[in-house]
Amino acid sequence: MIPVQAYVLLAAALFCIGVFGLLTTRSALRILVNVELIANAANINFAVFAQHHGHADGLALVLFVLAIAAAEAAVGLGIFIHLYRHTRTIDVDRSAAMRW
Amino acid sequence: MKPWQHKLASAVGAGVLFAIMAAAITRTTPWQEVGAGGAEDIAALAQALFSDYVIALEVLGVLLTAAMIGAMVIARPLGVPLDRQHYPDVADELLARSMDVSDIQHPAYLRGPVAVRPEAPPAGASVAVADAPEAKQGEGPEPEADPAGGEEE
Repeated sequence: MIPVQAYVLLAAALFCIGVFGLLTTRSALRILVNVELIANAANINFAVFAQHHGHADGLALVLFVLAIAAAEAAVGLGIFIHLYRHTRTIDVDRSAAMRW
Repeated sequence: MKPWQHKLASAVGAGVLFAIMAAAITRTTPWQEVGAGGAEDIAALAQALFSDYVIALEVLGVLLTAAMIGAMVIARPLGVPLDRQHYPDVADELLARSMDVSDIQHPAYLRGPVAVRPEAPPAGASVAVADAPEAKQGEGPEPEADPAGGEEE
């Protein structure tokens, strides 16, 4: 069968792709998408180790992480809608009022 | 910092991160993956979810509800008061007014054929700076001082 390390390497690769996409975008929606990608990379790790050890605890944690990511995406989208109504743009580089 | 420099630095950073993680992962002895159990996995998941983690499950439901309500409150239209009971006329009128989307300037590839293109609003009206929403939200608490008065035009 496929060794566990291949799956963990896949999760690490997805995590790094998500980090790269998160750092090199100005659009707020793309930031949300990349955050979801990073969370799903961690989900892969949870599922793989649950399968490896034979427990179902990792699978339950996968469900929790998915639900929490959904709640976070909803609140994040609400914030971005409000931001758009104030500044008429979703460019997060333009909304740097709290930075120097 | 130019955009390509930014992308290059991010790519190098992510690549270094992946190299460190890959070095740590491949140094361990390769385990053999157990085959997927199918239905037994789902039964075990349901067993764990409803016996060991049932409190977390219920709290997760409450969290999702709170997140949805919070998102609805955060994304409400500007200037609309929170309760319609005390400001019924103001709330409905402002809600109807805030639903007006005719001043949104879509990008060029979404505008449609030239014959049906709507007129562009003046540039000063659609660009909302920080004082414009504050002025609009200042109208919200105004009916507090004049509950029997007419709505502002």
